[in-house]
Amino acid sequence: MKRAHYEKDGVLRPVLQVIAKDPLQHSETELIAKVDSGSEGGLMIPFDDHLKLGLQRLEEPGSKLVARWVLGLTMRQRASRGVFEVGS
Amino acid sequence: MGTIAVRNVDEGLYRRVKALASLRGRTVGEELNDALATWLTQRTRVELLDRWDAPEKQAVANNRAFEKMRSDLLASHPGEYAVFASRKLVGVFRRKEQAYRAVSGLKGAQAIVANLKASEPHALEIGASLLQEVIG
Repeated sequence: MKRAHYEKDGVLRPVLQVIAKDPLQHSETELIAKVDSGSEGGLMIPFDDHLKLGLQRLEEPGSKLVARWVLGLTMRQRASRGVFEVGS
Repeated sequence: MGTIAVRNVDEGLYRRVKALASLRGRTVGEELNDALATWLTQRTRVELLDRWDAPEKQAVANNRAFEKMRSDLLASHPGEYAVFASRKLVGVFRRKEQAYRAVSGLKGAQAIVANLKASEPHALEIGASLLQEVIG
């Protein structure tokens, strides 16, 4: 892997180099994913990458997934299955 | 930092920027750099919102169509995959790969591939460090 961490405010934070693909593996994009030990399930990607991979046409029903942030804030998510390659 | 000449700048506007910069103890160049950076950030968000709009409208319509048929589909095709696009049921498929292939031939900005099984909405817990990334 090319990067194992990045630094913010003097704190080293872990990252993973990920290749994200649509489920049929027709398109792909490379991402640097930040590892969040407090989160569970899935990879959150920017909307731009969601569109680039065509995932907006393979979405799961909208009522199915919400993100619950610390402090109780909830946010509906656009969710799709995808293929993620980690490591070389 | 480079030096550039810009034509057709509104002189009144420029005088006000110069006066304000002077009051703040900053140069016109520093104020312009801030203003351009802000303009770029806002412009990016507007374009993102434009691109968000069409898929979001279709997502609302497709989700509505799915919710109307959900209980019937759950009863008649349990475990299978229903595809909704352009507010209509496109088809029901036994395997998700078949559903994905069906979607790839369709027009439209958004489509839903729903696995027909009873499930509660899932809450994804987002940790504090990721929240910090988002709010900067």
